[in-house]
Amino acid sequence: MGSDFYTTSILPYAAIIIKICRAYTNNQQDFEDYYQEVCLQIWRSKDNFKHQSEWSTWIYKLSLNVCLTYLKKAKNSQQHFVSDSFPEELIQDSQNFSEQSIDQLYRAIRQLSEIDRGVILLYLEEKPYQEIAEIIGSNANNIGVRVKRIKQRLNKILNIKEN
Amino acid sequence: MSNSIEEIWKQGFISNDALITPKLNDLYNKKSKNIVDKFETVFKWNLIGLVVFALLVLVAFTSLGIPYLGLFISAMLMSLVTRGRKDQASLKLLDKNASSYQYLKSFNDWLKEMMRAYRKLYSFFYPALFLSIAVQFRFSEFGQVAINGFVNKYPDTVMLFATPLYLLLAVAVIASLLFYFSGALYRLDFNSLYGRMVSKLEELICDMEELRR
Repeated sequence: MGSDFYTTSILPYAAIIIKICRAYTNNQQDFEDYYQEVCLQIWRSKDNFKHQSEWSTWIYKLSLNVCLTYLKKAKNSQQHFVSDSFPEELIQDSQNFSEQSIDQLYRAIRQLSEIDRGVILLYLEEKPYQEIAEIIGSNANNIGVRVKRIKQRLNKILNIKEN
Repeated sequence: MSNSIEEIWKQGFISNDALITPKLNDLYNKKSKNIVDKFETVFKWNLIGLVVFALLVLVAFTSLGIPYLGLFISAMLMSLVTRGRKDQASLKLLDKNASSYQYLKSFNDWLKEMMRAYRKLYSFFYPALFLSIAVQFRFSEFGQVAINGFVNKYPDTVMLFATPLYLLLAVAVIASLLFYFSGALYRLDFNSLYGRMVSKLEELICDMEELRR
């Protein structure tokens, strides 16, 4: 992979990839594998980007697809995720916010189905329903209903009182 | 917990700079070792399969009353296993400390050399397999009855070694065709087991060559 391409076209969007990969993996080793695979696939598929959407949207879509495919492969090869050992330094909280909260949220997200994880990640990234629907391959109304249901489930897991 | 999930998310990633990006430099190392490991595993099971098949052939043919044919085919299959064991040993000699690119290139060279050797081996294997079955048929009771029936029907048939010449010619033609197409037959056989791995390997080497430019 050309380092120029990585620096200019992937690195500025690394946060997207990291957030998605983290939701689909339970340990640092798998996380790095997924991250690398996503970067490689972005580089390989870059010529397929038709400028019909934002580059960032395309990265979301591709990252989700790669993670879902990788997860399927891992399941097929009986590779189970047993540990939940992200190193402390993965997320440096510069605002003294309780680090536990985001970790707990991730743990809760990982209890969702593969597709629901993608939907909620995009929702949390403030993507409009229409865009989520385009990325996931659904329609905006369904996504709205799905988001509501996922949020209820996450709230229940995290013991958050709904308004 | 009092925050909503939206708040937890926002505050958790309050600074995108805080997200540490994993390094990419180990990517090809992992991939290259994976592909060779996978090949080694399939290759090992292929050899085990051949040994089991050779034993089954021996037992089955012996119980059918044709032990010599069973023994011959088993011996031929075992010769493939012997060759495979040698290849397995030479695969282990590839330098795993070389760069990923060099490692994959040397694996690719090993693969090509192995395929070339097997193509040669199979150019004798397939015709020999067919000829052994044909010879067994000729000397079997059923074969003798069939030849007698043929000779009775066509009494003018030219005979050679107490066998109709046409039959000998047909066997010779089929054996020659098997010799001629042995390369293609081997490729079919090889691709059914290793085809995907080989195309992945080529893709990976291609990627790495692009990276080196």
